[in-house]
Amino acid sequence: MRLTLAFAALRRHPMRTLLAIFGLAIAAALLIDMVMLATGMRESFRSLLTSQGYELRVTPRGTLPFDTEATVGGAAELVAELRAHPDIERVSPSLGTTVQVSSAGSSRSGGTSAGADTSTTSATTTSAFALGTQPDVQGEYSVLTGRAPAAGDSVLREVIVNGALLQKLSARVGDTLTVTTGRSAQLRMSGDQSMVIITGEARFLYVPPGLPAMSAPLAAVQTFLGDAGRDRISLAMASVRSAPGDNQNNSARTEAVREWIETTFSRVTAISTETAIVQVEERLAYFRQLAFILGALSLVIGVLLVTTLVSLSVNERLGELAVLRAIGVARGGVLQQIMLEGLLLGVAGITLGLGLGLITAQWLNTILRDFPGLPADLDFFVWSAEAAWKSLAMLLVASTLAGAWPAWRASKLRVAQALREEAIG
Amino acid sequence: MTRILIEASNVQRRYRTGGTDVHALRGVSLRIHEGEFVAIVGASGSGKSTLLHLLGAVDAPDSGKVLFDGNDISGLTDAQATLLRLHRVGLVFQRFYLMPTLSALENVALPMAEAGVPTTERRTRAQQLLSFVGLGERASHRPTQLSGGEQQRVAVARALANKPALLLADEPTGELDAATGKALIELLQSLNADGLTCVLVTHDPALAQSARRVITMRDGQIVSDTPVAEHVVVPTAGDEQTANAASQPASQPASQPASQPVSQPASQSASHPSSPQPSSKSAATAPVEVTRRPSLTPADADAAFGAKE
Repeated sequence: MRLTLAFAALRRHPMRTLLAIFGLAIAAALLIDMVMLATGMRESFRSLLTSQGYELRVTPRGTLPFDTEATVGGAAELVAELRAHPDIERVSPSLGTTVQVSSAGSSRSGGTSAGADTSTTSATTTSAFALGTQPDVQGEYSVLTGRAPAAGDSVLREVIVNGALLQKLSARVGDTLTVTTGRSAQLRMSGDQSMVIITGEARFLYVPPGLPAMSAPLAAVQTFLGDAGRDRISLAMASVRSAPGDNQNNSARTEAVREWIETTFSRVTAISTETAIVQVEERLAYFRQLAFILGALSLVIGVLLVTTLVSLSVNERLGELAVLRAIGVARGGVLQQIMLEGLLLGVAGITLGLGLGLITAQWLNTILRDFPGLPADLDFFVWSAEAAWKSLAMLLVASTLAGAWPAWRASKLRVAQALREEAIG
Repeated sequence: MTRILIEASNVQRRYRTGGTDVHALRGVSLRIHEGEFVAIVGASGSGKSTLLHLLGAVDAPDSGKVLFDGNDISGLTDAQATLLRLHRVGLVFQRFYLMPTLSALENVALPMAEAGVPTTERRTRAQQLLSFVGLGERASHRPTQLSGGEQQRVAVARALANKPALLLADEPTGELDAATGKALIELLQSLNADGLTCVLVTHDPALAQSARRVITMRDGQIVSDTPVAEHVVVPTAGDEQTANAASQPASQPASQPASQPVSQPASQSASHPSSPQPSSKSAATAPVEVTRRPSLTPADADAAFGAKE
């Protein structure tokens, strides 16, 4: 009966109730979006870093992966020593550079030619990020169609490219491209040039969407770059042997390997996934604080909305509530009924807000993912069921408690006085 | 003489309203026996509603005592007073105060739900009570779909829901036209005839004559407490007998049989509230000899109240 009465009270002014529910839904949507934003980037970044199973990233001293164009010399020796460490399972070295790429028609023919002028062979030219990797251990891309370049090549003849490059050059898998070292095609400067075949299309995990990218065997890229690339790498990712489920020991082992690398090789910095996440968290602290402030604000707005509506409703029904008390409804009954009204508003607002929040999060994520310079696989809003339910439960409790003040007032109503005032009024 | 249901002894009640102290009751004492039909009459502000609230445990006196069934209810806690009102007192208000978003049936069932009556039982009983007051066919209607008279009858049915020992009606005809008001008073008379103790507050002395005893109040005091010599048919607007209602036998409605004398209030064993099948009661002893009418049947109620206004 109390539920019926609470429903009935809310139905009495349907438009007012609907507006309050909508307001509460917006507050709930904002709250859930802020929770998704606050935890989403961190989780997404963690997932991105751990997706290929490498816990350590070895970069030139004092740099972050591909933060600068700095490279590490003596790469073969470095990689060999890393691979020789008993706790290191795999090492994936890579060398990044910028190249000019032109479409050279669909001749399907391979081979290289050095010293040609790009202007005579390319219909369309674009700069692209070229990544030398060892295809058998690489953790930079995943093949979508076709295949990875042949691992053993020390001459640049095969590349796997991303969709952005294919689109820029209107090329397809199997086409031949002309790749020139990073000199300006617009200035018609000649550089080392190779004719390469596209062996497949890949999704590059750490490359921003829309940025043309390609990958070839590390040795081929090193050779292609000449002195600038000889025995050099930009990054080596290392996977540490781990025992399944033993997170504590695995973290300790990773940290020990990281320290060993930094001690042994003075020219590099070793960054663990955890350290990287901490660094990212530090950089995202502003976002997180903003998200928490906006989330807290949405909670306050929700509470104020419910308090206002329920107070208004109680004030309008003082006579009615006095009669309820007079005919034998206990204080607790009135308290329950009014708080139920707050709870019902909360449930309706939160249900609507959950859907609204997910839709807006998806929309905002699409916009933010287009932000230049960010990896394609980095999400800003990540659904975390636990965080979402916790925040929504918090809003539900808050909205129920928001009805507590007017409910308490209603339950404390002096029945005779209220009836007298009603009679006069 | 039947036992005393309510006794007030030197009851005083002050309250503050609009910045001024109002001495609403100044040492009121009275006794109401089981089965009585008492009208409390007086001008606005004379303290009659305050007295009614004290008798029904809606309010508590500042000093003095109110005994209900021999128990002092002046110092009850809120929870105790609430329970008393729920189970022993039925209240009818001038403005009906039905829950506007509930159907007539749900309104009647409300006190039963509060008392923990199982859903099926309370729905059945609510339907019976609505039939008893002539609204069996309008159980699913909302208050806004009912006329003033019908709403007040729903309020009476609600007041009877938990089979109270005492029915308190505060200006129950105040918002009704004369004919509808008359029908309502006849309903109260019928309930009283079935043994229910009724206390009616009205500012209309003529209406008060429908009771068996009239208490007149002025400035927070009882200035007269007199039995009604004859049971009077409630006058409708324009009835010439209004002025003489207290002293002369009035004409009965066409549907009513001739009045018969009784010597005391209907006994407590009368069946009215506990089983809403109206029945005629044997004569009982009253403080004064009054003329009583038989119980109101659903058919009577329909005839008396007519269709929705």
